Amino acid sequence: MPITFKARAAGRIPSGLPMFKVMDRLRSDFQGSADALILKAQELAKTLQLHQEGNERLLRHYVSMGVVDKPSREGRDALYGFRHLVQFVAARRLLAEGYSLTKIAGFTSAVTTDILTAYLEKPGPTSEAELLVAAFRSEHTDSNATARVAGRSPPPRPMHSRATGMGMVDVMHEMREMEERVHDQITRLQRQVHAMVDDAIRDVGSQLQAQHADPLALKQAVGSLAKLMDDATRRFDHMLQKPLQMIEKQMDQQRYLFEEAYKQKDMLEQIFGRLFNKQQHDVRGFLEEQTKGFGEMLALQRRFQQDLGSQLDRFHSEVNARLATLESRLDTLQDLPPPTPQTKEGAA
Amino acid sequence: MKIVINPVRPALCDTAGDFHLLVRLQSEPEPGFRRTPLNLVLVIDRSGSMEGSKLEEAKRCLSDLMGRLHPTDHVGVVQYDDQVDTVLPLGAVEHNSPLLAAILPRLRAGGSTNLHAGWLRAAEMLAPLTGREAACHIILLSDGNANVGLTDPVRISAHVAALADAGVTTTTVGLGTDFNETLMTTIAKAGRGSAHYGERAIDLAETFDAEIGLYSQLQWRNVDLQISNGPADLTLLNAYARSEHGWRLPAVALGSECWALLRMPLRQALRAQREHGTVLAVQVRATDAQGTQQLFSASLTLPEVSPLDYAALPMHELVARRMNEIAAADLQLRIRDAALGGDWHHVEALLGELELLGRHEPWVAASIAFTRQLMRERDEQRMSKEMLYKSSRMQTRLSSIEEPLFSQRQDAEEQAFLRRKMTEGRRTEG
Repeated sequence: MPITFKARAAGRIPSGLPMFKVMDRLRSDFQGSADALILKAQELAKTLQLHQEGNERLLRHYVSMGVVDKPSREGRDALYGFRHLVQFVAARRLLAEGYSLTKIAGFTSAVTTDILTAYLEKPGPTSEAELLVAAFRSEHTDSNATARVAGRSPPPRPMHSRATGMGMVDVMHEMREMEERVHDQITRLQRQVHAMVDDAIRDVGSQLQAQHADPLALKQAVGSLAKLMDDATRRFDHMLQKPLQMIEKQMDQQRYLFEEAYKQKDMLEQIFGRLFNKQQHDVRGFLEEQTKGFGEMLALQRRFQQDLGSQLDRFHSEVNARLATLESRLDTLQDLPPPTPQTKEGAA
Repeated sequence: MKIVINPVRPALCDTAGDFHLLVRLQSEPEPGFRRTPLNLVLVIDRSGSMEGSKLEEAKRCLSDLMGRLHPTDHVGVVQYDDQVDTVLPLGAVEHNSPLLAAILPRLRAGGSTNLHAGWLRAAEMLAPLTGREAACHIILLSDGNANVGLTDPVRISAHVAALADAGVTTTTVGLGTDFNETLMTTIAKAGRGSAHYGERAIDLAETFDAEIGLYSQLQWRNVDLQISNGPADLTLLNAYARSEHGWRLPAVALGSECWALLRMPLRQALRAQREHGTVLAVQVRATDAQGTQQLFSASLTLPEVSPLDYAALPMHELVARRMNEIAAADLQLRIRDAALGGDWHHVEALLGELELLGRHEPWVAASIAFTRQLMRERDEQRMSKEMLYKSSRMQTRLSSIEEPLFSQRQDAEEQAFLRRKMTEGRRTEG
């Protein structure tokens, strides 16, 4: 099969499809009237080596048939954009391939602009099955956007590739979910500890109000209790920071590796097509290894969380023990004879 | 392909009453037969409920299947729960087969069931390969209900049907007692494939055996039956899907035939013959193993006799049998409805009618035992599945060409895709 793609200059491949320079410019620039669209369509047709003519009447016919989306304004002031342009050119090409306008409309109206441009760049005929699948996939993802937890940035868009997916998007999705779960759990643990501390302080405070104990001793008792609580909270926070950071760092590394591998794979596919199936397979193998490594990392993290949990429990019981001691001391204070009225007044 | 038209009685007469015709599309021997290259994608449900023996059995069936494909066939594997994962990208069997051992451990049970997305990934893999020279086929395995992603059965069927028209067919295999049998049978019908089910993991092997056996001997695909110059009030009794001008019949394998039972008023048959010279004319379009579409036609003319002579004529044995099978299929659907409605008394009554039919039809009789057991257990889920699949089987299957009366021993020796079976959901024993 003759290679018809123009190789891109070396450099970072942007997310989205590699495009002809013409398409690139048009994507952000093109906006115009029906006549302007027809002109650009003819240019584009020539660049892509498609033979076709077209005129404004045809364009309006296509709009009425649903082959081309409605323009932003109607009538003489109609304004067309890049999507309309590629819909029009794609429709002309599909007609030449023998599809009816109804079938064409089913495709051009349903799929994304990226898919339309990919179709224009792809040499050779397209089967009806391929058009249907593209339309169904777009229809499906539109109505089923996955909800993201507020506060988290959306995952990187999976890059369009005509090769079959390899589950990498799935793994990255899993990674994100795991990160969120870990974060939620740690936040919950933190809150539990803080609530416990608050409860303890409140209890002691209410007991203090009920008794009239020696103010100085009380102050000291409360002070040391508060210090204990602060200590506990600080140490706990510190303990939580490290694993969270570690996980995030690992995630970033993995994410970067996945993205690089994915880009590599696409680049190879786009430029060298079928000749490099073996290379694809190797990259896949690599990615599978990474997935395995990730699985092991997940297991490690789970174990770590369990350790954390048990440490927390120990801490909890320690603090409780101390509280109990304090309470018993307060009790003993209570058992002492009440101070003389003067002292009492003076203390308040 | 040979078209055989058998009337219930070899004559017409001018009386009231129904008249039945059996149209049979028979495979003819083809020396040097080479079957159509096959592009096959297996879509495996790995939702949480598949964990354990079900998934293990599915993996085993997958290995088996690979072993029975030709080296130049293409095979791919997709697994899905609420996410879709391409386990093995579509590639030549000679290339992919060695990789199987490596990918099998990746099949592990997981979350919920995005059935449509799993199917769509398979369609995406096969789409570029459609064309007349090869058959593109999806086998979709599920043990549950589509509960994630696109779940509307009407829209799913529309997608499946559109792809079938464009050259990618779909067969469904239901597993267990919890899968959505209505959805799975609807998808198979829309996808122009077969609908199989197995109650337990061990019942799975026979369904794959049948499917791959069928595809190894497929002689005629995209079979379309049209009737012209037919009598008024003509009904085709099998539950075949309609096509633009006729009906879609099952694909025909070497050594087998598919059939359609037609019913019309006897008087109308006579009138049609007087008017057109034939009772009816049949046109069949089908694609052969090399991808060429061919056209076959046949017609039927019968002598006119007096009502007395007509009544004296014996009924054609096979036509009578098919009439009983269609009647049994109809009864079974009514049993299903009654069971789902909880009306077990009605189920009992219908079962009585089925037993009457069974007196002359050993296959119907053999099928009753399991139905009785399900009725005793008041198990509407399993009853619903067994009745739906059994009823489908009775009216839309391939049969061997000179099919004898059913016997368990003979059925066990038959090729898997031609077996009539006692129980749809359970494997043939012995």
